Amino acid sequence: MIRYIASRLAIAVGLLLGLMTLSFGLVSLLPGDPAVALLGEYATPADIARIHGELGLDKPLWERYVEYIGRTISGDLGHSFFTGSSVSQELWTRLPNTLVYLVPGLILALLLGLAMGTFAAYRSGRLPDKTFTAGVSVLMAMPEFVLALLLLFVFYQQLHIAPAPLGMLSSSDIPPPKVTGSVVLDAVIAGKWKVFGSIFSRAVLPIVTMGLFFAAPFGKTVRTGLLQILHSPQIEFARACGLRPFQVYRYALSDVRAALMTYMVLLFAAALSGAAIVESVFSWPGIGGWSLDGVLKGDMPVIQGFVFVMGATSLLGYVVLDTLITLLDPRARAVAIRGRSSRSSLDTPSLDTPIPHQ
Amino acid sequence: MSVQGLPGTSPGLRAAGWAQRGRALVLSRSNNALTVAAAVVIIGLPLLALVMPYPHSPLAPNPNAVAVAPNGTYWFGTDGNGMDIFSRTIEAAKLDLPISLAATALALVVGVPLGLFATSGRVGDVLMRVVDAFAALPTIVIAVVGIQLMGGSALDVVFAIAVVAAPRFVRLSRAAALSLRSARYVEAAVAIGCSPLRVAFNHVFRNAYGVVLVQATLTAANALGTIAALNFLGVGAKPPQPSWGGMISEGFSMLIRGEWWASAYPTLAMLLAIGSLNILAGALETRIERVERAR
Repeated sequence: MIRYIASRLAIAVGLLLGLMTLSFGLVSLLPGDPAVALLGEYATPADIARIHGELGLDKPLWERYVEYIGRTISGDLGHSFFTGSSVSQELWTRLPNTLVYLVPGLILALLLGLAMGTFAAYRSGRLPDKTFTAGVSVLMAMPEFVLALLLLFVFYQQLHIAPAPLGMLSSSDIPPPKVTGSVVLDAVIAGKWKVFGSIFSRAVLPIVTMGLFFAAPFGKTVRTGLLQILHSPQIEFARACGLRPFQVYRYALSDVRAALMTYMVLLFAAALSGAAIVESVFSWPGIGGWSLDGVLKGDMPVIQGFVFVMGATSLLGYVVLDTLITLLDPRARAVAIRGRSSRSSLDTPSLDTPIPHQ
Repeated sequence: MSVQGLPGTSPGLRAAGWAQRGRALVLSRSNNALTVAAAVVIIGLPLLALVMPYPHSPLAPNPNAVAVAPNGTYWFGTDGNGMDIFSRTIEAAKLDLPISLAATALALVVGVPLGLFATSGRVGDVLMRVVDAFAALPTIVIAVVGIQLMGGSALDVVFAIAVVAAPRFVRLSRAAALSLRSARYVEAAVAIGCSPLRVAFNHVFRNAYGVVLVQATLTAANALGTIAALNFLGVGAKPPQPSWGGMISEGFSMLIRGEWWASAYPTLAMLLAIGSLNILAGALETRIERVERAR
């Protein structure tokens, strides 16, 4: 077992290196000169050369690559070309702002999806199922910014119960004393629950947006998986034995567990993409909007840092997931202990509900 | 290795076979009104944009008619610059739909062969890990980076979306190839000495193309949403050029003030297109299931 986890980790380290190369190559090999982006189109060649020197862009590619890998491993993601602030610092102060709506949003999506999908599967072919399928079709056709705009129009513009999409704090909120640099964490540390509550009330619409957006594909996956298993001989047998319905449901769930867990990790990766869009709609000061801003300005260290950290987070998710699935599934566990297995949980063929933007 | 006289071996017969299959697809009884309507929307919207005489120019602003609510002259109203929403909504279909279809086709052409041949060996293993790593990246951000750095033309958007969508086809066609590898006819084809290329496309892919086609239709729908999201963020189509996402973004500030039309109509058009593609995918899926059950 330990050997199995070690082999997974080794693969992850290899992938991480690949990810670094990718994020380096993505920015360095494609056309576009950051010096021109920084100085504008009317910069003199001398100015451009000076900036190249300052940013280290005059060195050969391989030298920059080695330097980049070395720096990244030691945890230094560089400094923004434009603001000069440390990228890792920015990431750390902004990440809690994003998680404050992302995590509740995903939890909402999972609960909604599981509840609706289960309900639809148990009532398959009847009115609840048809309503669910229609609802999912409509929701799945909606990109998250449309959902966000719709919610804003109804709850802010028409009903006046939601706050304006103007960021995390209102002008009347007094920011908590600076400890970690992140407003959310500082509010908790300082015990300023009023500020925290204000942040949360502003986070409600982003949470609902995320929740509804991801509940639809997740619910569909739940329904498809449960439908298959509910008509299987093993569940028929469990029912025939007179097990309580909840017990039967638990057995059915354990069969679709692997597929659902894989799906959840994919959803998390997709949610980080979605963060950029949701944050630009709600002017939310999180990592999504910040990275997008960096991308639009051509801020290389910001792009590289963001791509690397997000990719690494998702990769870590995959490793944990692979290990968990193997640990929980006796069949997979037997294979993993017996010998080399390059099977990845992502090979699960039952994943047929496309994830938005994935 | 060609056997004369068997159906599908001469080019003429093969063409006739395809034509027959095409006719069967269009005229089949299973095509209900909804499916037909969806197909009409997908084919009709870009055609309409090509041939329709617009009531107002989709690119010229009218400074005397800024943010006008829908009325007899401006059917869908005008936006903050005084441009006609109706003409722009139709005009946007000319760009958005072909981009999504082209990107899907490109992803298909790149992804399917990779998936068919990645079933075994070290190369296949490595390729799948690369695909995994790709799935780990925030795709929207990757697409934005790619488009920004390449310059931002429509072709760049096609490339970026195709790169983001291709892994799905790799995974899908690989799963199909893995499950069909041990089928009798595939073993037989290998045994009589068919080339790997022929086995992959003539035997494996031919029996899996249905799933791939459904996935392609869903991908096209998904791509429409992604394109709109990109345009919403200000990447891709440049401002006077209408795109659904861009129009929704421009109408955002009006929407907050209660002037809903500037965002609502392009949103409806986009949802109509995405929904139609989803309906087509569903219809295809039903058909394929029925064919498989009949076998």
